[in-house]
Amino acid sequence: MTRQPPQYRNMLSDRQISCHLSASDRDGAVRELLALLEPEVNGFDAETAFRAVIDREEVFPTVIAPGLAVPHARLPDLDRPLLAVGIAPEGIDFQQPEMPPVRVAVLILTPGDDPGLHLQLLSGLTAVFKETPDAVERLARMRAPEEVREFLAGGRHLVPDFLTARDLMDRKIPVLREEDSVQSAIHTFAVSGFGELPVLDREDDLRGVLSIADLLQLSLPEHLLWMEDLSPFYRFQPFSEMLRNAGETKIADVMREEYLKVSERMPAIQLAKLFLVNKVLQIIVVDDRDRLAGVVTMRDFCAKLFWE
Amino acid sequence: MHGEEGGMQLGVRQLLTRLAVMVGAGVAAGVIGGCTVFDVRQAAAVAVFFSIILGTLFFWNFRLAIAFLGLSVLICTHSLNIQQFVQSSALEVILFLVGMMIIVGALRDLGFFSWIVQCIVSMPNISGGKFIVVTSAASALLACAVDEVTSIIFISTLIFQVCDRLKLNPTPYVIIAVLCTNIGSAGTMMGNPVGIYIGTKGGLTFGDFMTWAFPLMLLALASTVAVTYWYFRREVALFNEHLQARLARNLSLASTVDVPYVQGLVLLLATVLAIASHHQIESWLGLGKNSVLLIAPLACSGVVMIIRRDRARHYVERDVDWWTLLFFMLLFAIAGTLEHTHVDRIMASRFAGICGTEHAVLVPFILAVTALGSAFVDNVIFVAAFCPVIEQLAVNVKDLPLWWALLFGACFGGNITMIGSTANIVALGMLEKRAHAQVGFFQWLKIGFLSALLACVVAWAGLMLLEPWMPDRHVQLKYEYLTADSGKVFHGKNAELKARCTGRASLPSLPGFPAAEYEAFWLSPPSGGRGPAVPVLVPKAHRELTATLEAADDTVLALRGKVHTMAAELPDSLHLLVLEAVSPAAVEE
Repeated sequence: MTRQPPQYRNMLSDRQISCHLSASDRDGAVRELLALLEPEVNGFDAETAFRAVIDREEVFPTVIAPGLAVPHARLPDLDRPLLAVGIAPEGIDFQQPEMPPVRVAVLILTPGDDPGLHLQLLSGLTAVFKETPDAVERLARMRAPEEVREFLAGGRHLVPDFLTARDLMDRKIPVLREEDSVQSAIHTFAVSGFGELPVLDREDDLRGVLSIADLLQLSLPEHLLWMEDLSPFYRFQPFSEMLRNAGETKIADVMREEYLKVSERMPAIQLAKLFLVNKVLQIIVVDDRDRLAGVVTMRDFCAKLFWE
Repeated sequence: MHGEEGGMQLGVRQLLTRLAVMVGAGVAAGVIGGCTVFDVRQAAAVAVFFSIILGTLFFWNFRLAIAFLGLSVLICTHSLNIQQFVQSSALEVILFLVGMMIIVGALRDLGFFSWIVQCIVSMPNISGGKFIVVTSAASALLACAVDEVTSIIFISTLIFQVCDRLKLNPTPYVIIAVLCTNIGSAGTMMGNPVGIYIGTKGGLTFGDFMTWAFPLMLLALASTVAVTYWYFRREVALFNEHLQARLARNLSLASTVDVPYVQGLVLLLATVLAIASHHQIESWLGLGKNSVLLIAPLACSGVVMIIRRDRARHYVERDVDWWTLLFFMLLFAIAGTLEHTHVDRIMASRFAGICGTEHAVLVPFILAVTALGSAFVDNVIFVAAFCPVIEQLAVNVKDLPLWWALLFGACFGGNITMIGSTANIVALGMLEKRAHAQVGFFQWLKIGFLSALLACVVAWAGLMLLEPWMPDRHVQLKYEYLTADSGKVFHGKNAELKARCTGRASLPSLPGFPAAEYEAFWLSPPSGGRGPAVPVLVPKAHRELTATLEAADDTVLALRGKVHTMAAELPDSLHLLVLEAVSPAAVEE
């Protein structure tokens, strides 16, 4: 496993950059990018790499911003990460109809035994694109590989030493408002598919969390669980009161004020520990001002580390 | 009662230091005792017992291991033999507790405790004060009906549930409930392991508890509720404020549902009824004292395990706290060593030397010593050590007030510190786990000491007031106490003793006992052998008593009567027993 993450300036040579991708579809573009890498590694199996990238792309499409795709795969036989950059001024159809055609594609291949490396590389890349809002446009206009290399690898942004909560969290999560009713929370849970949601006040400060387990507990209080036989409640009698009052009851009345929250800068491996030790499925991530930054679910955490 | 961290998280150095203090203090107690009043066996018994007291204080989690090792030391030093160990381990008390634990498991399964909680959260016209008072009373009465630990587990859960709804810190309300639970545990013999142990040792019936202990417990409970209500008045007001705000929005504390309770209530009533009627059943069937009392929970749990056969194994394996029961068994046996080695006599004579034989001094002294002891050491240890002393004191004074003082001291003393009783430890553990709230030692001590002091004063005053009405019961005397060699005086004492009848006696004229009205017999020690003879007089009017003695044929008899001391007329035997009864059932091989 790689101990120190390689930096873009060491990984990216002009030979690995094409400013004129000819393919107009995803598969063709990936093949072109892989062809750039073939001379770089002895015995490089481009066909296996192609299948791995496409298989992954089918499950988790990688168009992360308008015009930008980062196809990637983990290859068991690889001993170091590989990078290839392709510019397609005309645009490539990456089979994501809701997004505009891809004009910049960055292919990342990493060794199979390093679960976080591609995310670290992605984090470094994201920093570059965050700093320059029109980065895709500028790259799309570049015609010389050295110009592209300088733009991507010449700056001050480095690949981070390790993954943090920020790299894994989901920023686009629905939130509940403490003054809203339990009825609205039930609706949000049903449509969002989340099991636990943060609760904010009017000033957008984080006040607590509410989970579907909390709603279940509200309906079926602990003292009824002491009974071995719940046949007197086969028709969910204890639930009726909760449902009857769901419109009156405020989320503030039932939310949990004690919950697990971590800083964006917390190393990702600590999150794994928190998931296991605290037996939770979701962890709230807050920024430096203690405001909600996002949520890391165990499912996403594992998906990103094991599968993506 | 015991150290909260129990030694599991101790560093090696700390562990060794505590171990050295424990062993050192135990050996020192033995050596000092051995050099002054004890012989070698007595010194070993005292050393081991003292070590166990310190062991439970320093290493709560190792208490069973320490008890095992202590027992081994006693056996190896000839302080205790296997037969005495079996005799003293109070298996009957252990089985009583096993039966009660199984019944508690079944009551939980049947929804009895759910019903109690449901009744409290959905009571009409609820207010903060009403909720606190009802919860306090329920925790005390539930402790009476089942046991203190069960009571506090269920009542604490209720408090957590309600405080979750009201967004309140549950700490003060849990403290009120625990204090009341400890008070309630003195109300019956089911409330606390010390209750059944004292009942067994003192020959007290369920009726005795209901007549004397229960009313005093209610008075102590009222005082505790009052003082805690006053002490936590701001928290109670806050509770009421939050509750009224919730009720004003038409929100209840919990779902209103009908919890089936009939089966659970029937089981509890049947058990309590079986326990309550033990004395009558024993009389009808001619059984030994408290034999029905001790097997009643076993019989009820046996029925439960047949009816709910699919859960029987669960009840026995999961609901019975075998670890604690094994510890109690060894503790009783180790405390029994104090009796076998006659340390209890020395302790009792010292006690009598300090306090005399006046109830006015003995009762508060026993109350204070047991309460303070139980505040730091397991009350079962304290009671186990004290029972033989009370038995010894009882041969000279009316014993009932002393037994009640011991019971109240042991139960109420548990309120003083946060480690004073198992209920405290369980509740604080739940509080920490559920509400992440920590209670400081002195935070507890302030209200704990105040409430315990008040409860003990109430008990003291009550015992002093009731003492004249308490019967002077027949005390169990050992045969050798009646012989002149014992140097003891029991004039006018009602007594029971075991002895053999060796034939008719010819006695000099005795004042108050004309020869025309009484037949005289000689008694000899129950163990056989040729011990000093003690005379027994039988009123001629009671022919059946005379017939029983004549037919006894040197078997061991259980004799009941009044002891008279006649130093002038009977210089050799000193005492005389005027026979009232020889129960056929009490005749043992």
